[in-house]
Amino acid sequence: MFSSTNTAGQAGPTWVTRLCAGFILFLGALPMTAQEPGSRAELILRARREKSQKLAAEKPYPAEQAIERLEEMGLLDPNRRTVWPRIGGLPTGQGFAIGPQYYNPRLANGHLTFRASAAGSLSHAWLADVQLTTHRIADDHVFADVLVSHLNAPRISYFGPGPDSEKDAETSYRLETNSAGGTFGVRPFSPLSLGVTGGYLTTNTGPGNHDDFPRTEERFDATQTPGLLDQSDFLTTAVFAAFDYRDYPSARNGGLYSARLTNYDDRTLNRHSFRLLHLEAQQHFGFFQNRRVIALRARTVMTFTSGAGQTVPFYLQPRLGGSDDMRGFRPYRFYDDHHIVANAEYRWEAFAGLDMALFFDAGKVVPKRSQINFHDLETSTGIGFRFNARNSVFMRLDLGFSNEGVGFWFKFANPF
Amino acid sequence: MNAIFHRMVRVGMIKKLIACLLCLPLLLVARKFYDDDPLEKEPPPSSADQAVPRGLNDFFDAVMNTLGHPGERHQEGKGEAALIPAGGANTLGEVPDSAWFTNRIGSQPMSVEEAVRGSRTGKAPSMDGPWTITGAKTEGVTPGFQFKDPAGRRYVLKFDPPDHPEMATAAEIVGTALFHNLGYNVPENYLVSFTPDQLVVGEETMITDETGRRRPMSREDVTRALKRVPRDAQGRYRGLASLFVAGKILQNFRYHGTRDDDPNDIVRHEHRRDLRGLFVFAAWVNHNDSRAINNLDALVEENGVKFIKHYLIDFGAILGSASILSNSARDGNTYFLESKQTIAQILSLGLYVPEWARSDYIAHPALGKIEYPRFEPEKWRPNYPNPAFVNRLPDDTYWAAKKVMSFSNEQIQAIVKDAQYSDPEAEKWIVTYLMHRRDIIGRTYFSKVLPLDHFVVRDGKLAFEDLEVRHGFVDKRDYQVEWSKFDNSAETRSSLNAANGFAAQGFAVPPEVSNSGDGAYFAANIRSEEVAKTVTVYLRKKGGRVEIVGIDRTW
Repeated sequence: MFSSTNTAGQAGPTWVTRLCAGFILFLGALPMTAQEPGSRAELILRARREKSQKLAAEKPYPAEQAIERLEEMGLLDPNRRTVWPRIGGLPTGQGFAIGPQYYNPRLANGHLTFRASAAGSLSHAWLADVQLTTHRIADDHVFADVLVSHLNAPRISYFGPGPDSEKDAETSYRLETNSAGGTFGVRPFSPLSLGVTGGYLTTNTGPGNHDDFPRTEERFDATQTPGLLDQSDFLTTAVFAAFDYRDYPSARNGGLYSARLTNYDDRTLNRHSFRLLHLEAQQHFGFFQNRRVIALRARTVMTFTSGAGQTVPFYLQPRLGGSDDMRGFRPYRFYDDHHIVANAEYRWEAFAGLDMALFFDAGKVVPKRSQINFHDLETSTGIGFRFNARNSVFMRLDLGFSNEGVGFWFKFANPF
Repeated sequence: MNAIFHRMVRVGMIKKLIACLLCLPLLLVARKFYDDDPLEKEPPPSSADQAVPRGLNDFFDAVMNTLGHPGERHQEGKGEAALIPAGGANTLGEVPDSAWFTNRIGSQPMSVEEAVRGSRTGKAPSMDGPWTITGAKTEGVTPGFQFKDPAGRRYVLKFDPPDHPEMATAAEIVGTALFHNLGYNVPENYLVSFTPDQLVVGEETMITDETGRRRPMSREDVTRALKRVPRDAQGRYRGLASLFVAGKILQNFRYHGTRDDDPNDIVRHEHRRDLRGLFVFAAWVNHNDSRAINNLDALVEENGVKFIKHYLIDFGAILGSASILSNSARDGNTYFLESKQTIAQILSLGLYVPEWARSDYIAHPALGKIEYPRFEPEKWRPNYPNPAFVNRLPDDTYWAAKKVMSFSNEQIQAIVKDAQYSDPEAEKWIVTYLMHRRDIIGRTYFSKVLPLDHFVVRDGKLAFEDLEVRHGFVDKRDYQVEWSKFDNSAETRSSLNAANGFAAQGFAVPPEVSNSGDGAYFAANIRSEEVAKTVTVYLRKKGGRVEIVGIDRTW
């Protein structure tokens, strides 16, 4: 009657066996009553004794340990890491670029920083540069910089000159440049910097390698694209001034007002000498404790040819379109001798590491300076996600819409 | 199939029966109170001399606590049974003295002078000779030095950010005094004022500069570092000298789990009353930086036993200060990532603006950014979730609120005065800020329970104080008591009906209690208007006297 089988049909312990076993265990456990603590203190001491039996070395979590190691190696501190991947930096449209970067800020007792990097993309674009920058000279009232670089960008888009170029006329060309130059400047007081630059620039244009678009020389002739077939070298000099009182690089308040006049002196063909004036104004209005920002930017770039017969080579012409100005358009959608662009963004904080933005872009390129005005502007709108740390945007996803389609941009800095 | 099902049920029942039998010995000896309850002090610590330092990564800690739920949490939505009561508290609900906590204010009288003195034992850096720099952080917004004074004592020297003279050092002085008086272990911090020649570089002192290069420190490094330190009208530098914590530094404790190498660490940190209650203290002074990186474990030796002592450190980022800059409006108002707010802000395209972003703040160089009119302690937030704070229950916050409310206006005024704000308006602001927030804390957390306290049996009556009434938060009210005999082993009560009644100021102790023999336990269950909020006071006859042995609260 008390026998039982388990569900597999094998003979199992009887009820009596179970109860007997339980009773034996019960009796076995009774001596525990003798060990029952007589006081709260004893209860605590007993718990301590039990823990003493299983003490182990206190250890960080494995992931935590890994981060610690990276920090010790200085890899998470931009000022301390020596070898680090360079991500991006190529002209828009060349694909995702990555490469090594060497950084040494310890030269001349910490007053000189040396940087060398190279980055390439799957489209065979690549960039290499070497830079020497001063640091903390005269309490940072003086700054200087020497930069030597090589760029090979085989997929730069060209749609033809002027504001009425056709979207479907997209072509592709290669631009190779070698440049060497230096900058010297002063900061007489905090927001103001003034300086000069000088350098030498060699250029070479060639057939683009984009499979989806024809080569530029196949669709446009030399009159439309000055500089496409004949290559110039330039002696460049510039003066600049900037009044920058933004609170952070990814500003929530403050403004940036800058002007740069660059002279391109064609040293080989004497056909493409010109001056380029870049004027920019940014103003950021923070409100609701700077968790909301209205950011405005206006920029114009004008060129001035140096005498009769001189033209601005098409690859150095002011351009519009792409991730930083007209985000609903293809990169470098518009080329001409002058441009004007205005951007407005409403930025709001979603959480500490993410700001979002609604933006509106308007701009145009024009062949004549007299046409620089706010008539007949191309426009685009969109939404953006800006991931930031320590008040600096380190990754940006922008989605722009225009009458020509949609642009999706994945970048590593704020547009302005 | 049906037979198999029934057999399985029967087998399950048998297993339960056996389990009950096995547990019976424990049930027979389990008891609610021990003879030495309520414990005012934990037993002396056991040796932890094997403990070694363990690194803690600040970034990892933030990510782990933001995206994960480390530690043991209450089970939400499962009622009272799923709540995990606080540990590290005695049967009265108080925190006994231990390596974590020492009862000070609210537990014993404290003079204004004692409140101001705080943790300081007269070991301010000696000015009888130069301070020898032994280490330094020369880069960043504010520099910092380690130095040895002529008496051979070692200190960390901290400064204010250039745009906010007095802000961080004053916050540190105020915070150190308050947290010491509240009961925590804190360093000894001293305000110092000195000229540059007070500092000399040690012969073997090395620094790691901003580039990561390790090199001998030079006088020029000191001069350059001090350029970023505000100076007063006499050209002197104001700094905060923090005496090195004694013992071997074992780095920071976490707010969850226990240390594996500490035999005395037997209560999970997320359940410690002194750490759950720390939420209230942190809210009071806006210590939004109350995270693992700002505490410290040290292996100290007392009475020949090495044990781990737990410290709170770095109060430079309380009040309106964020140490190296002024607070942002976020600080104390929201986590880095707060899901509901985030979703609302994303979906509304920023049209939803959190209340904290719409508020006005006082901006003063010496204060940073502060506000108090809008203060609601339950809405206060550290930078990221803290497991002990998240686990707080009304009895934890009640315990903490009592401590906060124990600070008198005079004590607060004197502590703030000791921070030496040069602008009397700044001093006034901080005093007002602390008093106002103190009162809001009392009002908020006393109302979450029936705040009856200071129970005592006197002249045949069970007397007590209603803290809400005492502080004028509510009008006098009536209470109802239900007396019962309490079986300490079975934890059951049998009613003493005849003695039940209403009263406004204490209840007559029934004769059954007074006339009982030693070792008898009784319970007085007290309630007022709100039925859910009760206080059960346990009384014990011991040595011919009736004593209070325990307090349970419901809410």
